[in-house]
Amino acid sequence: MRKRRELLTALIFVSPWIVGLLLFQVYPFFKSFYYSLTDFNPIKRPELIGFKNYSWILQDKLFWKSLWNTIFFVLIGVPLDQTVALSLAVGLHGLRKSRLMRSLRGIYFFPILVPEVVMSLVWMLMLNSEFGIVNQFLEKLGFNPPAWFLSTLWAKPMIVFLRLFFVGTAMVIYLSALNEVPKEIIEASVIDGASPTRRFWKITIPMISPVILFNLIMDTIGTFQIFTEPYVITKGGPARSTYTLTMFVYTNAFEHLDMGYASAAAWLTFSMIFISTLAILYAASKKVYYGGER
Amino acid sequence: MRRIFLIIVLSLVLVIFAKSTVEIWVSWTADEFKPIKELVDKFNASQDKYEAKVLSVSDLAAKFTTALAAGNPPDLLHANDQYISPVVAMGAFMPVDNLGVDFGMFKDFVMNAVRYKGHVYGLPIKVNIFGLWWKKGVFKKAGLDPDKGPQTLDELVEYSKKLTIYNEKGELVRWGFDPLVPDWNWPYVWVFHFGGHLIDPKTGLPTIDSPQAIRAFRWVKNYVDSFGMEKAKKFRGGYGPYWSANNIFLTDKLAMFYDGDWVTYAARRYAPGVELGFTPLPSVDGKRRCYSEVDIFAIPVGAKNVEGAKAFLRFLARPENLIVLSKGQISPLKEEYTPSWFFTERKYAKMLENEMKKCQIVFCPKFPLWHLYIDEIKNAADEIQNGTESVEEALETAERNIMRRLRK
Repeated sequence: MRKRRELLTALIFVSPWIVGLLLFQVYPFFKSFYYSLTDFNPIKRPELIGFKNYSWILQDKLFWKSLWNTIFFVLIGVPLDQTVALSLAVGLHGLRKSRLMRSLRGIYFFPILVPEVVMSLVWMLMLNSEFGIVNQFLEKLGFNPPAWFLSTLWAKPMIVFLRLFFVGTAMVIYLSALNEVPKEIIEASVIDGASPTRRFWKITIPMISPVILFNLIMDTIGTFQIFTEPYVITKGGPARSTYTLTMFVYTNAFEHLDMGYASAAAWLTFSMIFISTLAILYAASKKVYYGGER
Repeated sequence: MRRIFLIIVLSLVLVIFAKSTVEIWVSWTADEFKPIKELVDKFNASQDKYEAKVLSVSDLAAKFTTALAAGNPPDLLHANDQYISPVVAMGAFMPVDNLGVDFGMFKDFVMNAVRYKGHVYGLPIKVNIFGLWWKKGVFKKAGLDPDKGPQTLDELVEYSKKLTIYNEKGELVRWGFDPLVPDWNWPYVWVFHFGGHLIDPKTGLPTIDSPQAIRAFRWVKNYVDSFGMEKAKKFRGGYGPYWSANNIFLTDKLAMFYDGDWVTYAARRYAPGVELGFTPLPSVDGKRRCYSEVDIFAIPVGAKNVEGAKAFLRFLARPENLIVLSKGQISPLKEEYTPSWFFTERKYAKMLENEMKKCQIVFCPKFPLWHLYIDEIKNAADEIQNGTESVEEALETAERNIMRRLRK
């Protein structure tokens, strides 16, 4: 009886969150699947058309182009983000708990506090071909830098670089994981004569592997949903070279007012995220060390 | 008991005599928002039945779509004539033929822009005309007649070459004319100036791969190539935002600029005292054509206070009110209905009024998939500019894509 009352009290306390989850996440999630099977605009009643939206999307060249662009961001951006975040964390960890370490940690984390739109605008100004600080610097070194965001070759990599400003969260998570690596193991390996590089690859990395996996999955999911940076900076251009899956969904829903088509695209995006996450989990299953358990 | 009775009576009185709200959504902000706010205040003071509330809404199209889907649209929406066909095709605007406004006082071409399938879908509030603008001082310095712009495409190239300045590295410092400014919304106008149509008048189908369109975009590409595509790209990368002191035209980066007449408003703000010249963008066949757009107020289907919205539109349609919203240089009203102060206060109004009489006014076509069509044209222009596709390939792809969506 007491347990039941406790459960009820707990449920009452978490109910605002549960109601929010059901109303704003679970319900729209399933409803959007229903919409993906319909011909539907904001005024018209949804009309069931089966899987036609999916079939049309798979024949839409723009969908494939946006998929390729998104995959580029995931394949190039995610490993780069994680490498930079981990490198920064290792560097900061090496400084122990000094004042310098605290200051640098604050500096690296600071861009996270700035809205992505603002960071995108700052990045645009920095890379402006006429008065941007980056181009002026490169010109002084004797290079002839291009107009980055008007070049189909450079626009995507420049957005990948912008996302490096947002590695602060991953860096902090890595830093706390590094602090949790047992000192005894490190000391034992030092006594055994292991070099710092060997210690890093054979002890540190396996010990923090669950955190690497977590950051990898979160970054992959986030990058599959990349929208703000290309939308603010290039609007998907030039020649749709930065047009991503979420822009495809957004444009079809709110500009072309084709909610059924957009819902189907959203579900395909979700499927890709789901499959990628499963693939990462499967690939990592034998590599991640969970403190004695697999 | 007596107290409760009193409260009920008081509430009833309040409900009966309360003003019903008219919610108005506009995309204007800051300085541009002031005139409509003043008119709304004037409307509220002029009667006791309705209380109009105007909201400046960013990303208006997306928010309107969401509100529409939720069954909670505003009572009045500020939109552009480009929206009419896609939104009416969706069944989202009410016709306002019986508004009780004399539509005869509007210019004929303005009314054509707001009419779709025989019905009027909004009250025209503002009209813009597009053409080639230049700063007279820049022309003078280059030894050109400051009162006369290029009249043919060959002259446009010749003027542009005379006005272009390079630095010691051979890079562009000032470009005579840029036919495709990045983030620019009107690449399709070139088709009109090469005598083509975006929609076949007979079939109602897209014709972006027509010989005229191919010729138009080939001309644009050849023009840019004559200055060097890479040089042009680098130069374009330095363009500042339009509504800023870094405006590309007002900072002399571009000597001639294809734009709407709102450029006069930007000039007043960022380069006061500057003298501007205007001519229609030259056409291949020598005909004078001017592209135009009309802003409207429309009543969305599902609006809660249709009568209030109509009352506000009737109030707005009075010439002395309507003209306040014409921040540019063109009055949507016929000359005889436009208050005389408009022509004395707006420096370029008379000149543009006369130009319009000599011009064939063209509008974007009434096409239900217009936004998708613009996207495809913009992308084709991008592909051509980047050399990733030939003119023919890019336009054929655009045509194929839009036809595929049309068949859907």
